[in-house]
Amino acid sequence: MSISIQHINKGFGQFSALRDINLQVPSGELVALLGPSGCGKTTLLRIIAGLESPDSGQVLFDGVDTTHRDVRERQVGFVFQHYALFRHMTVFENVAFGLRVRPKATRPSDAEIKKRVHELLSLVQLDWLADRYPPQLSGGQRQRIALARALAVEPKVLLLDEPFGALDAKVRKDLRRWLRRLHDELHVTSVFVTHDQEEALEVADTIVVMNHGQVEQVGTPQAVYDQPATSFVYEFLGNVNAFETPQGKGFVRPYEIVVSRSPSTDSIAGQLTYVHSVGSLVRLEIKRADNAQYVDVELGREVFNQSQFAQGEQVFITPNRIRVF
Amino acid sequence: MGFNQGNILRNKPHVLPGFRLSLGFTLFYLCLIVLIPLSAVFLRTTELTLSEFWAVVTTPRLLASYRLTFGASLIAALINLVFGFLTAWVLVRYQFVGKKILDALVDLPFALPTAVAGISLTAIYASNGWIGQWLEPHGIKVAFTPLGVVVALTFIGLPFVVRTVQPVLEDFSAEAEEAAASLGANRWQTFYKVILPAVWPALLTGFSLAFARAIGEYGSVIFIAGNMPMVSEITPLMIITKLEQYDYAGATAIAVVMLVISFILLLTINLLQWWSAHRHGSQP
Repeated sequence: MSISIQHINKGFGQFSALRDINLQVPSGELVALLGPSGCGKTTLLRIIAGLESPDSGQVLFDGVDTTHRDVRERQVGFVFQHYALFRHMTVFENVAFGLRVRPKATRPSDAEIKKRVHELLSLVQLDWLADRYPPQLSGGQRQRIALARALAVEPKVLLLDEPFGALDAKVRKDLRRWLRRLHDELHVTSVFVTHDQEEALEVADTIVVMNHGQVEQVGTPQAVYDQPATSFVYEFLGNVNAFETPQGKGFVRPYEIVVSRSPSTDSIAGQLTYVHSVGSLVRLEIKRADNAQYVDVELGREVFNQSQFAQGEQVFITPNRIRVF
Repeated sequence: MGFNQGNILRNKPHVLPGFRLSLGFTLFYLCLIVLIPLSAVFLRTTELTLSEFWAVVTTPRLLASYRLTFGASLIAALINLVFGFLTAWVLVRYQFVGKKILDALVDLPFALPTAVAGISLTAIYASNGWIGQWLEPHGIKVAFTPLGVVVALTFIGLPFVVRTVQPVLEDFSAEAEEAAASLGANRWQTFYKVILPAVWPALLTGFSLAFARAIGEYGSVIFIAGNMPMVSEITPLMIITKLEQYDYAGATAIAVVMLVISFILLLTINLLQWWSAHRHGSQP
């Protein structure tokens, strides 16, 4: 199901959380709402779900206005940041909940419910936990159960609020990949909220970058990373160094800087204050001689090994690509 | 669970020191405050032979008082269960002017001397009182009837349910309710499938506290009950009556009966709680 968001405004008291949001989510896509905390991304997700109602504007599902439809009737699967599992129910009952609360006429039989729940638990690879209670599960397991529960009602749209926010780094990575594969399998239109650019870049088909209640840019991960529309997007999607240029403030990624021992026409002198060489990249911290500002540089290990810069050494840096907005 | 003495006293490092000392002190303290006075009651009762004991505790007048005490306490605790939950819900979920005052009012039955509560309730519900005068024409008599006993016991038991349920409701995340709604549950289903099971242990605790308090209540009841033999006499009053006649053995005999029944009831409720906690996997 496609989602269309038109001129959505939402305020909380004096605070304006969303300002004139327009967004199209094509059917079957996996979209990330990316932005710093307080940018309104969760509010937008909750408005799509029907957990919050906009002050003005419309939400259309497949072209049908659903702005004022109750969350119960929207057929959305919502996965909460802290999972919101029912702790007094077993994993099985949690997943079965959406089927058991259906009106008698459309409620599946017990046998069907059992079959369906076990299918879903196999899908999230946790069938062996069916009789446990949520407090007995790890964070990653809870997250997958929450997802299975949301999928049980065969949602037209799957909405995930910071799905990996409360997990540790390793589990995050695994689950990310797993969510991507799951989406490729199910093809349900999905929107997830995150403040982690790496996560958004890795998982999503489309990224919506938000800031201060407004959409800054919409595009594929490649597009938003390589052709950022605003300085905010550029800064938010990766580490940056700021340089003064005649046209104004310019931005340079740490890997777009050349370091050498001899000066050239545009080079800036500086002192190498710190070398961090763990992993495939070597990170250098260079203090500029002219304005004492620090510049972060990333070099490939090969390049670094050739020149063998030492801490404290005098070096010259040349940005080879400066972006000015 | 390996719950034996070796396990509890040996080699388990604790964050705070002095586990043995505090355990010892707790046991000593409980003995001093609870167990010794209670065993004195039992000891005193042994002055009677078994048949004498049985004769004392099964007189028709006393049997009627057991029925009233335990019956009215049960009804009052049930009323408090429902309305205490409602009050807690309103206090937690809604913002309104005067909420702080209402919140403070809940504790009043704790602070008020029970006799004062009894006298004011009697004044209000008497046939010429503020509320009583409106009930009288409809044939409803509250003061000096078993109904009055229920009213008084409800009054003194209210804070227990509110104060035990309130913190649990405050902890209960709105997310679980939203999750239920997003899965298609209607309001009633959300209430009895999601909210009620979560607050159930707290409700049960509040209920048992209110119930226990009501069984032992004396001060507020004797004024409103009217104390008519066979109709509106509560068991604690029967004990006082015996004491006034210097029949100490008889008084403690009744006390023993109350103790045993109360203990069985509270134990049952505790077991129920333990069972529901285990069933819900909240214990490791």
